Amino acid sequence: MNAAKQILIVDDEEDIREVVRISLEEFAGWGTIAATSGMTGLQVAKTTPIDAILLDISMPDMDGLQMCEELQADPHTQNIPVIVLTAKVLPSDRQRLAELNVAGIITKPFDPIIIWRKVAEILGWAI
Amino acid sequence: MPIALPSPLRRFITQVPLRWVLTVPFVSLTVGATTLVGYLSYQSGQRAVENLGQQLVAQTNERVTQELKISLQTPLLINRLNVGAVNQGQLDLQNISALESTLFNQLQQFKPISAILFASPQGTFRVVERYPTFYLGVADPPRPDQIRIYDLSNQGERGQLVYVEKGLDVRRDRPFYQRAVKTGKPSWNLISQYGSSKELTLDASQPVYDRGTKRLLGVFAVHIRLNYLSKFLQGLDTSRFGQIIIMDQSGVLIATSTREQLYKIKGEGLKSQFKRLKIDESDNPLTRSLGQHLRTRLGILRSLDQIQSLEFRYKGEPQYVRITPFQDQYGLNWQILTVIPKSHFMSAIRDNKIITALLCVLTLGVAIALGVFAANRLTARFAELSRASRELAAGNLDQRLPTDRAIYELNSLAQTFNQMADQLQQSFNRLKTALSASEGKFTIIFRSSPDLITLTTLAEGRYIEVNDNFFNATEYAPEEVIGQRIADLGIWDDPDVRIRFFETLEQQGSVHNFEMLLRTRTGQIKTLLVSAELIEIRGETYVLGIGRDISDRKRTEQVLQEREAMLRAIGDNLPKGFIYQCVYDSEMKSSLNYISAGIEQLLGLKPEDVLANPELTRSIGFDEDLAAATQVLQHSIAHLLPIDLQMRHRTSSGEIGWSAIRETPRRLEDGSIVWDGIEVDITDLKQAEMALQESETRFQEIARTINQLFFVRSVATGEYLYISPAYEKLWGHSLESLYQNPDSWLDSVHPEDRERMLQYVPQNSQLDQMQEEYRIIRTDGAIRWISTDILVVRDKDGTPLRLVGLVEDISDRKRLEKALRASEEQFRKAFNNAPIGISLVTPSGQFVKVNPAYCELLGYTEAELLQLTFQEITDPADLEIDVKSFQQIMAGEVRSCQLEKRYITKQGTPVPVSINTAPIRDQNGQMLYCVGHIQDRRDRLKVERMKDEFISVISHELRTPLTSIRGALGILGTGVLSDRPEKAQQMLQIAINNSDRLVRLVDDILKLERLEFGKVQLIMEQCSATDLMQQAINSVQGCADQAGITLSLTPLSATLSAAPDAIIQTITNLLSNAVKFSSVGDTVWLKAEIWAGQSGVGQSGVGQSGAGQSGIENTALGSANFSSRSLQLPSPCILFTVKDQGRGIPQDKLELIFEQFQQVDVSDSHIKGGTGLGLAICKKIVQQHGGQIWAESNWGEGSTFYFALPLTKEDEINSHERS
Repeated sequence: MNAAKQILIVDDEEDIREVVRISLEEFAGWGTIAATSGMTGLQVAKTTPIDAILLDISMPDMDGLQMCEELQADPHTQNIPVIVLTAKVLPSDRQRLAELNVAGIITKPFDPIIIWRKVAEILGWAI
Repeated sequence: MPIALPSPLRRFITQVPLRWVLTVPFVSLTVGATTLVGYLSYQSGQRAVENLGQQLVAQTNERVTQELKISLQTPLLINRLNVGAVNQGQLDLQNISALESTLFNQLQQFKPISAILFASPQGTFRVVERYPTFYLGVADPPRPDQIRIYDLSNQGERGQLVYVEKGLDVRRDRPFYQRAVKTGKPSWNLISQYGSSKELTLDASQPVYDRGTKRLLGVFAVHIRLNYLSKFLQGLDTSRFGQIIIMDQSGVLIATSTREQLYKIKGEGLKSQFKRLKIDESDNPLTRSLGQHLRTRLGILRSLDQIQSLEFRYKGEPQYVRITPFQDQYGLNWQILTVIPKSHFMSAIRDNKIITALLCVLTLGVAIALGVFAANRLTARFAELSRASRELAAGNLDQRLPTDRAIYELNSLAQTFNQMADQLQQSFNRLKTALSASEGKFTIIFRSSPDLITLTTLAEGRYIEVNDNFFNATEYAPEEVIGQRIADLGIWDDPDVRIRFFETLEQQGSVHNFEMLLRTRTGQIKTLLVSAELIEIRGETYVLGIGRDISDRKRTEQVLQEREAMLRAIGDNLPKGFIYQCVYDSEMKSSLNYISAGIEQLLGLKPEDVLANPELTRSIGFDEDLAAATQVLQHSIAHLLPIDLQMRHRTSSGEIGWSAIRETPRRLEDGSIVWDGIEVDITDLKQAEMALQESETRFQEIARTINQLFFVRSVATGEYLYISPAYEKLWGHSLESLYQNPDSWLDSVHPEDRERMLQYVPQNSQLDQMQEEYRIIRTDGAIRWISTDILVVRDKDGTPLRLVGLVEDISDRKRLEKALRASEEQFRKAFNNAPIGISLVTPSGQFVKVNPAYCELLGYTEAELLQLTFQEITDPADLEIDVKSFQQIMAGEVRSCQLEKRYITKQGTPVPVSINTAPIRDQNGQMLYCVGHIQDRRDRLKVERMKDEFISVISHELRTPLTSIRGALGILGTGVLSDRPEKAQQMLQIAINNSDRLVRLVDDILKLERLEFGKVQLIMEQCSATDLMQQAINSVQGCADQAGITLSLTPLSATLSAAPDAIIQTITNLLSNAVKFSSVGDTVWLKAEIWAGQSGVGQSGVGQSGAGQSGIENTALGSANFSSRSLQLPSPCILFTVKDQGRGIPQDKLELIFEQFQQVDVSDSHIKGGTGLGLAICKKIVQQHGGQIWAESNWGEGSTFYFALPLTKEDEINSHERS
């Protein structure tokens, strides 16, 4: 198990942030940083060394899609793998996601026991 | 391969004697070789000498050029030395004695130099001269024009004064000085007479200047006498046989090798004039001639600055001439000419030529003598062989040749000849024996032959011998014939025929089967077939003739031929018919004797084929006809009766032909029966018969069966010639009645049409065709529509003869037309008023009809669309599939087609439509048009999009709390927090909160959905506005208290018709929102007022807000600022207002917040516990009451929500009563 991983969780829903945080920390042993909006998440990503971002899509001010584009535009952040957490399940929503260069998509709701496994699987990390 | 030569040449060749053949080639070859060698050696010698001459001339000129270069350098060099000495200060011009000494030393050193001079501008002049002893000339200022001449010793010492030349100022009178001063540089001066001597001199001068001031110090000059040049030329070898001349550019002589004087002195003494000669004025004839030649050839003179070789003849003798220019940079431009006569070189060659010619002649003589000798020896032997051959040919077979002479080949030839002569002798002896045997046999045949045999001479035509039968046939006695000439005897009836016969015989050598008429002694004419042949007997030519009498045969043949020709002519000229003769022999086997050519035209069979195989005629016949013919034939055979029948046959084109046959039989002696028959074509007749019959039958059938009535009526009498039976069916009257009274049909015509029809009956109409429609009333009272078409038949003058009419019951058609018109009208209305677009396009896609809805959808006018095709207005991206579907419909692969595509409107906007297309075909299935129905899909697409969005939002809103619940419970379920109860509690709280949120959400969604689709029946009742507000306050009071927020109510004593629960919920929602977004200590105001237009604002509300309201309250609600809405409000109405002091709402969201799930901030949903549907529910409730709801706010300054509900009359009255 790799304990050195640092994951940024960006979601405006506090409860979801909490659930994800506990899942990653308790089950995978990874460190987490939580951000409540796209803007905050972007600042963290640019200033703190992190290994991956779990990103919600529907957020006020700067949504997940915009944040993704900003990450892509910055050479410092463009290589950070992004996994999208979304409750959008319609084909039209998925189409927009497919246009983004993201490492994976996890649909809400998800099983907190296996979310860390999914993240590790998507990112190819050994667990 | 033999070459065809012209006959004279061939004759010449064949008659050339052997002597010539042997001699001429031998002699020709010898002489030719000798001459050729001589000629070639002469030519090469001549060329070599020519080259030599040219080289000599060129070398001479080159030598002269070298000499000139060397000798003419000297004067220039002396001047240059003197000027150089002055410049370097070695020679002081003021030191005159030193100058004299220098000049003298130089003159002494350079022999060709005649004088060296110096003249200063001041007038000092010195000259030292060699003439031939040395002299010194001196002139000084102030008398520069007085030159004193002194003797000079060989050491240069001045001696006695010899002579004083007065009046000669060198500066003024001598060109060398002036030229030097003028040009300022070294130069040559003109050639002149040297003093009074007979010599020419050339001056070179050069000025000398002060190097510092550039002032002229003086001029040095050197004289050189040119006679040394002529002496040089005379000393050259070339001058012995040629001439060398030097001249200047204008042709004036400078030197020559001829020793002549180069100038002339005219006059004597002081008046004498010195004149230099030009080349064409020379005393030497050759020089002069060359000069004249050069002058006439101006081209040569012009180009004298380059080396030239000239073609020049002197006294007819060619000369080598070469001109070489000599030029230098100081102005010399001379030419050097060398002339050498060609004869000088060529004389030896010429002598050699004569010797060569003599040797050739000698060789010729020897060659001829040898050739003639050898030829004579050979020809003698050949002449002997020739003579022996001729003897042998003449029959002298004992000729033999000697075989022991010289020449082996000729001896061998003689031996061969002798062998041939031996063989000839043996053959001749055998022939002689056979001939005498043959002669005996011939004599017997000659005498006893039944034919006429004669032997006559060819030359005179005299009878030598005839056989006995000749006398019998000609009735002449032997003595009258033998020895007589054929011409004299006159047995050839026609002398011209006889002459022609003999001419032919003479040309060809024989004549066979020649027919002639023989006249007997008694004048009887007989026809003879004669053959004759030329034979040679003892060198004389005879005619052996054999004749046979064929008179009887000829006569019979002639009669037969005439008969046959007649018969054939009759048979062949039968129009479309033929004659024939057939025979049945005693055993009843049939055959054809004759058949005329017409059979080919009639039956398509060749007469010769039918003669060969009579059965051919049966092959083109019909079985039943042939069977009938056989019966008739048998009957004819039995009774010898003529046959007369008609038969069919198949023509070559497969049609059926008819022919009539007539035969007459006769029985011959041998028992056979002969039929002479004729067969003629009657196809046209038969066809006409059958067509008539068929036509009649068909006509009767038509007339009987068709519903139309037709008639033929005479124009002249007005009577009906024919009326078809349909009249009775149409009119209900008998045919008879109309025949009797031709106008009786008019009785049944409808009274309204009768007048028109009375005039209609045409008598003298100019029209050829008429048509009329009218009604008749039948006997059963039924009214029928009738149409009558009449055709006027006229004679060739145009006079009407008959009326042919067709009358038809068109009642059904009339009814259908009416129904069709009504139907068309209905269709047109449906088409034009249809709410969907309908179009009609041709198979090419061209619009032919469009309805207004179609035009409206696409933005084009009807006229514009009719100019377009559907392809032109279809979005290019959809065109391929659209055209494919259209083609499938056209091809009949599908019956109709439905697809969704985009049109481009006139304004360029794409419009999505769904289109149904179906073809309209004619009765043959050919597609005429395609009808298309289009429906605008924009609304539907919008609805679909909205539905998608709604589901997306709902799904998202449901999944979000579910995610928290699932996550929290999932973590709890693992037991990982079992030892951390506070964390576990937090997880549980998350699950509970989100469950509540989910329940509220589902409730709100359901509520909204029911409101949306009218599933909630709002039960209206009279309610008190204050009660409604109070109940709402009560439901949120707990929360407000909990949050430390004051609720302020401004009551209104008014009633309104509303669904109380719904309005309470609306107010509760608004109050609940206000509380949520307020902070501790804030106030939320609720107020109601009656609104009766702008003037009435606040009349009751403010008035009844009562005293004691806080200032804030008054400011907040006293005069609500909603003027933007006021004009649209129902009047009168009750206006509810909820105001808070919260964070406010951004301007751009004031409208949006009333939509579903459109919170100002997404996080509001969980922070404030909202579902995002509260205001949407309020809006629905207010709308269902016929009212309006809106919000006004400034960001950061709180918000005010308004909703207005309309008041009914009843409400107003109640309200007034209350108030």
